[in-house]
Amino acid sequence: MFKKCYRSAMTRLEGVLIIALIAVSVVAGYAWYMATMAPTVSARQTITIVDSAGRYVTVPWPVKRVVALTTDAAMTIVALGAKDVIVGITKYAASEPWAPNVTVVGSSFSPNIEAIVSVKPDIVITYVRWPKPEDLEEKLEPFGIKVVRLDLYKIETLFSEVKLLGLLLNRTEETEALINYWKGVYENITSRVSELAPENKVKVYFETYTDFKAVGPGSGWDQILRLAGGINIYADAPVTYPVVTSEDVINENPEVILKAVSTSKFDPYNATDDTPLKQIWESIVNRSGWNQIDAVKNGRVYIICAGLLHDSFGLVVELAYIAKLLYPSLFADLDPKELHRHFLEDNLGIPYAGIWIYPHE
Amino acid sequence: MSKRRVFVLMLLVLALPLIVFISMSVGVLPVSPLGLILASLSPNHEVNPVAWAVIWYLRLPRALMAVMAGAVLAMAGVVLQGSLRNPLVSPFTLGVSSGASFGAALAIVLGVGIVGMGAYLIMANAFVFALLATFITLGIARLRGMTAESVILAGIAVMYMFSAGVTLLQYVAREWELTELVYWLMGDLSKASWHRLRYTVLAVIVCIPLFKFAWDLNVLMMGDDAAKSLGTDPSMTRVACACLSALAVSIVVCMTGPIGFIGLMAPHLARLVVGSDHRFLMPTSALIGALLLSTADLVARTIMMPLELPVGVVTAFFGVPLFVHLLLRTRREIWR
Amino acid sequence: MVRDITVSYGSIRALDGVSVELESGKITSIVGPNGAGKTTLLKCINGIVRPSAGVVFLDGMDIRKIKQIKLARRMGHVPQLPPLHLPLTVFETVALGRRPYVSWVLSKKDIRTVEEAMKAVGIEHLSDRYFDELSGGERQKVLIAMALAQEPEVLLLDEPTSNLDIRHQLEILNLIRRLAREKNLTVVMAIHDLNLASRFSDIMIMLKDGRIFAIGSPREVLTPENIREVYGVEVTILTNPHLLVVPIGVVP
Repeated sequence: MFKKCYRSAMTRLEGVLIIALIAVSVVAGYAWYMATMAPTVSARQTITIVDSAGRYVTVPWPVKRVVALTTDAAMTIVALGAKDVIVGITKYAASEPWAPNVTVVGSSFSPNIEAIVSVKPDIVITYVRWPKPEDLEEKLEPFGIKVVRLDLYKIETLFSEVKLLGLLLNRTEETEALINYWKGVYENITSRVSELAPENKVKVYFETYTDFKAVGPGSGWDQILRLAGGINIYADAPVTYPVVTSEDVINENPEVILKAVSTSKFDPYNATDDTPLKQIWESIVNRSGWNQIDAVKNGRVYIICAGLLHDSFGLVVELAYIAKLLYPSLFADLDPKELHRHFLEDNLGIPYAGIWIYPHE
Repeated sequence: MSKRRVFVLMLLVLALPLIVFISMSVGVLPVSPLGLILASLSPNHEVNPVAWAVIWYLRLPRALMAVMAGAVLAMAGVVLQGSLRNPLVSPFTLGVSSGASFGAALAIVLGVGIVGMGAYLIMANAFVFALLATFITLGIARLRGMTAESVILAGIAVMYMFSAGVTLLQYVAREWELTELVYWLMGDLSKASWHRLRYTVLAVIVCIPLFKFAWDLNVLMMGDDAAKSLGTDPSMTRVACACLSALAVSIVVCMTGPIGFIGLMAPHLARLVVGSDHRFLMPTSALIGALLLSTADLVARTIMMPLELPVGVVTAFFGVPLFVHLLLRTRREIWR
Repeated sequence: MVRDITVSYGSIRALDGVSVELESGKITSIVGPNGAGKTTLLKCINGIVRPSAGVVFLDGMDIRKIKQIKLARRMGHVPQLPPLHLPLTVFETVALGRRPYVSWVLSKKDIRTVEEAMKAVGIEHLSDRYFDELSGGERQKVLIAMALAQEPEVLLLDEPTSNLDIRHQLEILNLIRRLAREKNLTVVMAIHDLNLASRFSDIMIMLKDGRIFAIGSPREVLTPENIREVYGVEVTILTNPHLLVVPIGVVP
């Protein structure tokens, strides 16, 4: 009985399949034809630049619509006073107070191509290394959308990248002002640090969000410490985030201890009460045997909140905070809070608030 | 096969193109194939190449990849469950997914790889290490006569080994590389493209010879000895099935990352529909696998629009309750 | 057909130099205590187990030279225990016996053969039931039907009556005897029930410690002396009308 049922179903199915196959082929051919027609060429001016990935990119000029796949890019554009240029933003920055309320398009690790296409940008800005060209440039090609790769999180290339960005957005004046201000601060700090004699340099133990996880070579924190003139006791660790032991830290006897606290544990911007930071501070200071460490004896243990300071010009603010903590006398005239205020209020357009360092004066 | 079964099977066959069509009609942009076709039929329409490009370059390859990858994973699952006589086996049992993860991690964290650049470095590495893991598993099992138990145990050992490697690489990784690796491990179809579909078709082609083993898999249910007296070589069957399915799954996984649960679930669902005769079970599993993955991807793309969930998350979160529900509802025990 | 087989499992010699000639149309039973090598001998005959020494011949040809599938068309094996779980219907299970003949589709002939095999064993009414739902006796019958579906010349049965009640035991053994005569099958069965063995077999082989202790007609083999020697049990033999072995006690 099953045979009969099966066989009759089969012959009917064959006929239907053949017809379906023909229909699908026709439709597919038509679709392919339609899709490969070139989009209409607009009569806009174009400019060819070299981005941080070392590629020549030709983009419409001036750039009026940008998708920022990175927080650094979004932040920098807002700092340049060009907030309304952003039409698509990375999910990591979407809920930030300074960010514009635009379509979320994924992130640099998983871009949502359709969302990007839907906001019709002139360019997309992302990191040099992520996502891979096969996953971004190639997919955007049929839509004629170009990608400009700028890191904007590395302090050594930050200023030249901002200059390029300013050129693309045709805001050269604002860019100059911005760069001059921050570059000034940066060079002020680095020049003073370069005059420090090696024996006067301060030994630092820097702990990140997880207890006993230090920072090693290749991490952003390590770089900041070096620029600030500190000697990271784990600067030559074999891995980027080494896990260290209590005894080893006591043995190294750092002069300053810095602990970074993540935003998920403590939101610095909206905070009014510093008790959680105080608790963390006390737990560090009370670690068994740590009362032997110079940093603890001299009260030079500080908590830093990562918050807004890890991107774009915030890096310079971060540098200022740390430089002042390490060498208060050398940087007596440096006011990191004022720099921070300038960054938040003048650059990003949000009021200066929150608790960022503990203990704070 | 009862009338009821044939009916359900027909439903499934019709459901597949329907799901594919729905996938192509849904997305951030309000573009659909139906809409475009209707528009192009009206006399004074404006051709909108962007809309066509979205369908052709973004949605169609992804929908096709979901269908093919789902079918491949399901075929591999059913073939391995049959040749290893164990309903808990999945296409990743031989170590394919942990091998691929390790290869991808090597490429992402250390930039070390066999061949290629950028995205292709990761793909090639994942593929090579997935195969390597399989060969190690089969090599160990061969020392113990290639019995079902030895293959499974060897696979578990290999899986632990490569997982440990991935963990080590995660520890050594820098911040951004770690994030990239985590994203890769989630498994998703967003990187589908016509270029990658070429490889996926290859994976499907590799699965076709597996049909030749349908009777052997049926007979293996009686045990190795009975199988031999019926003219089937159990270890030969196991090796062939393992190699072919590992090859096909490696191709898929190196492009999509490890997408779990489809290979495990589809065969069981197929058994509920057509029983355990592999001649019907295999194509039905493939069909159900394609349906499951297509539906999962559809949900992944739309549930938090415009954000996209990785498809592996959806297969687990939606697959598990569905599976448990079916488990509790079945009157007859299909498995022990 | 079997010549000088030696089989070793590790350091244990399961069979040592066993040679026997099997005749078609006759039922040969293999008896012996547990571990004497009955199952092993059976498995050697159809090639499931490869002997470390010695050769098995089928119609004068070394079975190692015959392709496995071809061999499966000529020799059927009914295992002692069915697999732990088998999610197939009875029809599907018996159809497995056609494996040596099919590549994908079950032809009309295949289906007819399956139906005939089921009818011969008396289970056609169970065709759509699931194997797992059957009783032990019914399962045994299904396995026999499966072997019959192979259309073999040689039928090997490993303890075919262990799980059956008296009625079924007689039914099955009568069936086997009828098939042996009608189809001129060569039947070899390993069986531990001496009475049934003597009643239904033409030739009996008694194994002890992997060697043939005695071979001949049941009356010749089943003597109190042999049984005492092989099993270590004191017995009386009655003839009423069939040979009946009555155990008296264990020899210390």
